[in-house]
Amino acid sequence: MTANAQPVVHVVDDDDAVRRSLVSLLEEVGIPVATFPSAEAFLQALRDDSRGCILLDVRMPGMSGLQLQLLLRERGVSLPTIILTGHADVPMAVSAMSAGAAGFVEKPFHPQALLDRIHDCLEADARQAALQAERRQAAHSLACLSGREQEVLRELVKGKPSKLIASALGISEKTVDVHRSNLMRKTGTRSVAELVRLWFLIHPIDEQTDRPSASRAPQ
Amino acid sequence: MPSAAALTRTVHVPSTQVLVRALFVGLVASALIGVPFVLRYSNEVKAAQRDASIDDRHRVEVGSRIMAQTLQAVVSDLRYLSDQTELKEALADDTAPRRAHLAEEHAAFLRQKPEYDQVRWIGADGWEKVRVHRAATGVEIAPPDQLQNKTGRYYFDATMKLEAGQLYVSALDLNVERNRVEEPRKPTLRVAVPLFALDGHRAGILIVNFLAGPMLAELRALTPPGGSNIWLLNAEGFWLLGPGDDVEWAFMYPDRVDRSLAVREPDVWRRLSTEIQGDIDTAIGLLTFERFYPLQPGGGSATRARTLATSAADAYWILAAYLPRAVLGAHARELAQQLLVAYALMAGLAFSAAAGLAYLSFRNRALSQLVSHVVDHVPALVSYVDAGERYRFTNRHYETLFGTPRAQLVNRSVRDLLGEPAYATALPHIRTALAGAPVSFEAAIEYSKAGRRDVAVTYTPDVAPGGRVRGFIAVVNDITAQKAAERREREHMREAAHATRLASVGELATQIAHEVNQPITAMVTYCAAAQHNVLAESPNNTRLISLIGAIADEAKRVSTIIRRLRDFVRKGEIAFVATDLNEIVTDSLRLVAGEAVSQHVQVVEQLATEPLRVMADPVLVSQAILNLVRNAIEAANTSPAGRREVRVATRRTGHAAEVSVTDTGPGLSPEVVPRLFEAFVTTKPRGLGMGLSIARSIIEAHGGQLRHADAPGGGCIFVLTLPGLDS
Repeated sequence: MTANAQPVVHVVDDDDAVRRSLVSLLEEVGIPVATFPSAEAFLQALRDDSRGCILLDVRMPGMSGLQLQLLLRERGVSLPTIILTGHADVPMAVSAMSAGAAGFVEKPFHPQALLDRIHDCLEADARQAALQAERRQAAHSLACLSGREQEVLRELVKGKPSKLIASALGISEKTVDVHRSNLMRKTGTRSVAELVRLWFLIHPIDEQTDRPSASRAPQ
Repeated sequence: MPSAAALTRTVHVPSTQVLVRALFVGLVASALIGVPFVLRYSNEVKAAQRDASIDDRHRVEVGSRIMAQTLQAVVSDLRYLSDQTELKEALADDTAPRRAHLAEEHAAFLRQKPEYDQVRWIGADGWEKVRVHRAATGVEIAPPDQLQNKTGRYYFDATMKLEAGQLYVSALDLNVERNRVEEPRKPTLRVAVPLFALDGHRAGILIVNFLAGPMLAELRALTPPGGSNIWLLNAEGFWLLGPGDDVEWAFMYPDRVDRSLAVREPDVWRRLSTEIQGDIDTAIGLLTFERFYPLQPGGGSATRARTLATSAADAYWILAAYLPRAVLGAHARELAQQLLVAYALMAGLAFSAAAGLAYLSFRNRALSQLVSHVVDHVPALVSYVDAGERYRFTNRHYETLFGTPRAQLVNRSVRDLLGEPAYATALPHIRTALAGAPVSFEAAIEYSKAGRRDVAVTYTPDVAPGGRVRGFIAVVNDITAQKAAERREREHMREAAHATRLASVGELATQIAHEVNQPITAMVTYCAAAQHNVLAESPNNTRLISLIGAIADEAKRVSTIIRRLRDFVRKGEIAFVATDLNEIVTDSLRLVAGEAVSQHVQVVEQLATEPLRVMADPVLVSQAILNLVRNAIEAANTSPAGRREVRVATRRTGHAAEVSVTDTGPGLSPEVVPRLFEAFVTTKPRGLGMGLSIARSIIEAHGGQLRHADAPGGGCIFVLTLPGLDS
């Protein structure tokens, strides 16, 4: 996994003029852009580490925009998608949004408004990318811990003091403290709170059986 | 007609009523037929009676003549005998030889005349002097010793009292020998004359016995067997010739003295004995009779005058022809039998005819009821109109349609009932029908009472065998509802076609909107790129930035127009806003200004000074106006320069706001006008034919109207009205 691929606006539209005009506009404002004349072409070019967002025309020959959107979701591609439509109607908008579209723009769109939506999507994608990087870092750190250290960490995350952890694990309180300082050193954290955050980065809360589900969407 | 025959089988003829009617009519007819038969019978019977009595009178006359002639002969024979020389010589000198000589003469006489039985000369003293008589062996001259004295005998005494020339005729009776009636009966008449000597003293009498049997037989032969009987009665009413042996000559037999007509039929006898002649109708039968006096010379019939005195009492006989009632009755019975057979035949015929007539009459009535029932329930007006154009028959529907009782419809004239306008429509067809040709036609007829109706009419002429048209049968179907349904159907079809066309227009509009949106999107995006570029390269060139913005705005406007039209065409969506129609017109005209200039057409704007506030979708209404104005410019363009003008005016009319677009073009051909607002109808070589259609749809969707008219100078006026908001 080579992280930090360049964020790019992927334009998928069968209309040549629309594609070229969007390229002109986005280049003018300095946003990298890649265009695809069909859903199939886009799928071919798509890589796991592709970043940025997708501008997707609904009405295309071959695979339609909505079909592509569903397919991407199935594959776990999390690129924010803005739907472009020539004739907006409510049922189509509903299905697009429920399929996870980030936005919905009717042609002919107001270019500034579209740019604003693109900026929003790119930011969201960047945040997502940062979070991903952090998670990867956390996982890496936690992977370096010994078995005992991981046990101690699991108890710590539950909010137990050292004394209780010691009795739970059948070791002395002193030993617990030693493990804790090792933990913090290995993970580079300076407080238990940081340690807990690290833990939750890779163990999402809704996987915890004793906690209610919470939003996992990035802030 | 075979159809009529089939119809008669369906009607019910009440057999009891037919029977009663047939009996009644048959009885009356039989009674009437009986009258001539009865008259004939009585006439026949009377005629038979008359004929019989005429025959009988004739018989009686003939009989009377026979008797008269016979007696005449007897008298002339007697006169001849009394005038004989031998008698005169014997009278002068009565000697035995002379007597013998006279007897010989008399015997010769008897031998020649078989009708005589005896000739005698009786002396004045009563002694027979000569007697010659007929015996079994022949004519016998009585010897002197057998001569008898006849003094005291009625014929001797009566004759001795007679003057010379007078005659004695005895009663007709039977010969009596030795006080017994001689058998076989020998009817005998004694005729005598007195004899006088030359010196004039009485010398006795000459008497002959005349045998009346042959005469009576001759009389009897006058009557045919089975017909009348000839009777000969004496003055006492006894039969000399009569109904039978047992009653004839009854006075000769002491035990039979009651066997006379006088005793048996006293009433009949009273008339016979008191009247000289006649014919009478009695209880026993018809009697024709005449009294006969034998002593009258030359006949002795009662009708002749008595010229000769008689010595005897003026005795008479009655000669009668008797026709028994039984004979008459038999004749009448036979006649009655014949007449009865004939009458029975006639009466039978009468009953049969009556039955037939009654059946036909009831069947006709039933048929007539059936036919009028059917005709009344046929869902059409049915009538019979005569050659004088008067209704002779109308069915029930006429009552309903014209609100007039049927009785008042009969004899009404067609013109009067239908009213003038309807009559004018029907008249040519009526004439055709009355000329003998069947007619069918459909028409919308304005009835005087029933109003305007669509009708399908058939007139069937009623042609007499000679070819004369007696009238016609009119069948009028009211097809108003049917016609209205047809019109509605056509309307629906047109609407459906319109909807179909609109749907395809909607599809097309959607397609166009999508296709046009793409370049517009590109345009708008390019504009944005250009703006960004200018902003980066020469940020002070604000003019360029705004120009680029204007381009983008117009591009978006195009998109908006297309989208609104599409939404309207597809779903009839209208975004109503309160707006001033003048503004919409002004905006629209601004858009065509360039086009007008390029086509050298002058657009004249005449807007109302007051605002014309309406609730409308400005984009759509503007499109409608643009359509009209563009069409007007194109039309005006074909006119010569200087006449290329389009006048657009607005004004308030009542509660409505109105826009009129007038051009100076060539106008529209009449064929195009009816389909002017239909989709896909165009006069332009490259037109789609949707402009006016959409324009009218838009205006009508606003509750307004779009109309076309010819402009006064040639060219068109389109007038668009929208409901005003201020009203």
